[in-house]
Amino acid sequence: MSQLLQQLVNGLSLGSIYALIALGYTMVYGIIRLINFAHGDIYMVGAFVGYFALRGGLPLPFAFFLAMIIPALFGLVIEFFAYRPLRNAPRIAALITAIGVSLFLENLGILVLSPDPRPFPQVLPDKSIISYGDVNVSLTQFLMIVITLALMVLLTLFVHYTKTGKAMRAVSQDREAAQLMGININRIISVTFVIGSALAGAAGVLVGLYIPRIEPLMGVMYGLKAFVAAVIGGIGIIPGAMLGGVLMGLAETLVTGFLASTWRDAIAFGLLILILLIKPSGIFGTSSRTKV
Amino acid sequence: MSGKSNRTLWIALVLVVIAVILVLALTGVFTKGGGERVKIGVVVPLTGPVAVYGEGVRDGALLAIDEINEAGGVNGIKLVPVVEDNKADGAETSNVMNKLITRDGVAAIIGPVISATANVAGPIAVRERIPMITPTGTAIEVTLAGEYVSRTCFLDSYQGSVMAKFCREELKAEKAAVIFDVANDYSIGLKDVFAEKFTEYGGEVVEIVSYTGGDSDFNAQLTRIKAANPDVIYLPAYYSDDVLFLRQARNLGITATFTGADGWDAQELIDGAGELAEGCYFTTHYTPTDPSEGVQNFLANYQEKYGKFPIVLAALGYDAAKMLADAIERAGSADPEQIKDAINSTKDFPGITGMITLDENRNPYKEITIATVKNGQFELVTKLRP
Repeated sequence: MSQLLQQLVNGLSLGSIYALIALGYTMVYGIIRLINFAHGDIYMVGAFVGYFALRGGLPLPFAFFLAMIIPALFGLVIEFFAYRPLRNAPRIAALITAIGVSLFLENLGILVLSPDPRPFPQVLPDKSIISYGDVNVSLTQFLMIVITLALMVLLTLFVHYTKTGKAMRAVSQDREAAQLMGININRIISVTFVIGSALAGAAGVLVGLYIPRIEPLMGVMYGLKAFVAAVIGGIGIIPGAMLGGVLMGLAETLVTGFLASTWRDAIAFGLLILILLIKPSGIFGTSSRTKV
Repeated sequence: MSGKSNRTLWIALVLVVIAVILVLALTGVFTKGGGERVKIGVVVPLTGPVAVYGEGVRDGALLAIDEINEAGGVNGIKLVPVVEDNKADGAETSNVMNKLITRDGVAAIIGPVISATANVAGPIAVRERIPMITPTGTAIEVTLAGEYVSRTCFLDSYQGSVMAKFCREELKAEKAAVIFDVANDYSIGLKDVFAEKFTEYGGEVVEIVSYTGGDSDFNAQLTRIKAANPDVIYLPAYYSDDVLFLRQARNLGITATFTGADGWDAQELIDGAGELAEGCYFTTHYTPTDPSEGVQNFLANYQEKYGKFPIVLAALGYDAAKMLADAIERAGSADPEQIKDAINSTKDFPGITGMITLDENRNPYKEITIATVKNGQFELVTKLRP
């Protein structure tokens, strides 16, 4: 029993990371119907910003802040230079560009940072803050879950109650109509990229603290899994990404804990196939007719 | 034919002749008396997760080659090392092996470093009839590729059984758990031997869990181990994973003693894990506290040349190069076939990692060191024969 509880804690911690990254995928898809494959690499950028900030002696909250700001700038610049010129091009062109941007960031990382993994600075003490019998929640796990929850609440409030948030939803529903209502589409799309990238950056630091090993290609697998999480929850739907991420983390952890690690990825991607077969629009998705 | 085109033809011909002469001069056909040279391939990972091992082995081998050349070479033949990075990757290993053999024309190869890549390189060496000495590939299959493949390190099976014996007899462990990397031959081999021997010595293996190389979140596996409540945890993995396991185990409140194999022996373990590495035990090849002249000379020369302390695998790289030079000297020739025969008859070669005698499967038989971490330093615990 305590083993199951502990595995649930582990799964929630991992799942919160997937959820944070999945949010960026889903928001960008929601607004411009683009699967931004470079998103996983933005998460890597966040981890490295955190690494250098902490190595430079900055306190954790400040490093965390920087690790959200700088990836956000990356997102802004990437959207401006790579995706904006293709706004009216066929969707496949933007998709291929996204893969190109992803490869660019990965190889730039290898070139500039060297491909060798680095140990992330351990600024948090290795201790559990909640101990219940044999179940331990370490300070890092606690922070991961709490920070993720806080960011999700903030995001939901932002999307529902601010003017920009409402504009985002409007653009996502009907871009032309939104434009006719006087919404600056380009600005809203930039904001979406900025927010998504900042969340991924936060995930990067949290993973650094949790696992502690970072490398330029760390975003590939996490990005892929988070993308799957976004699809499972229903791509384009914000609560879907949150749920999908947590489900993914729980499924992986429970499979590793009670079956075998070799089954983990098979189960994760099997889950995707299952969802696509039963409910292709994802758990929270509503089936919609293709607009002609 | 007009006179003009005739002249063009002549100029072209003269240019070709000059080019040929230049090429011949550069490749050394005309340089008589410059001394015979023989190229030695060094295949090591210089990038990726085990780059530290690769650099160590390379530095050790190059130090040995420098020492040999400074002393006048082997029977007057100078050794020319050609270093290639195999990125610890199978496909890349195959590429660099082919490049070294067909393009550089090496007479022998030192490397690769990890067993998984040595298993790829071995069959290529056998096919091309070029002797290969892996300094550090400890999996049993490596030398079974054929008589061109030998090694300077002990076998995984010896490491696994020595650690099982140590856990039972010295640490008095009743229950052991094993964690291994399913994507790594080295880790799988050690897991099998340890589990078998630990049971044979009267202990109980309570849990065996796997992970896949490249993973970094091991909380699920460690939670399962914690539930089995072992006295010792055997983790035959490389230092970068070891650090993650130690840290995550501490966060889960696991107090069992971690034990491991020679993959633990890197300064990065202590740098990365800090005090978490204290009191862990692992099997390894030699220890720098050995007072013998060979070891102390090696340490002094290495530090003079590279300005840092050698990792243990550097000593194996050094021994591999010295063992190869010894074979070339006894063969009296740089012919790969004769070098191979000489390597295979190596007997009581005084390496710094122990006396090396190759058996019929070209595996050395030697003592195994058990080391621990104490006050941020590696320390010798004992030496055991398998």
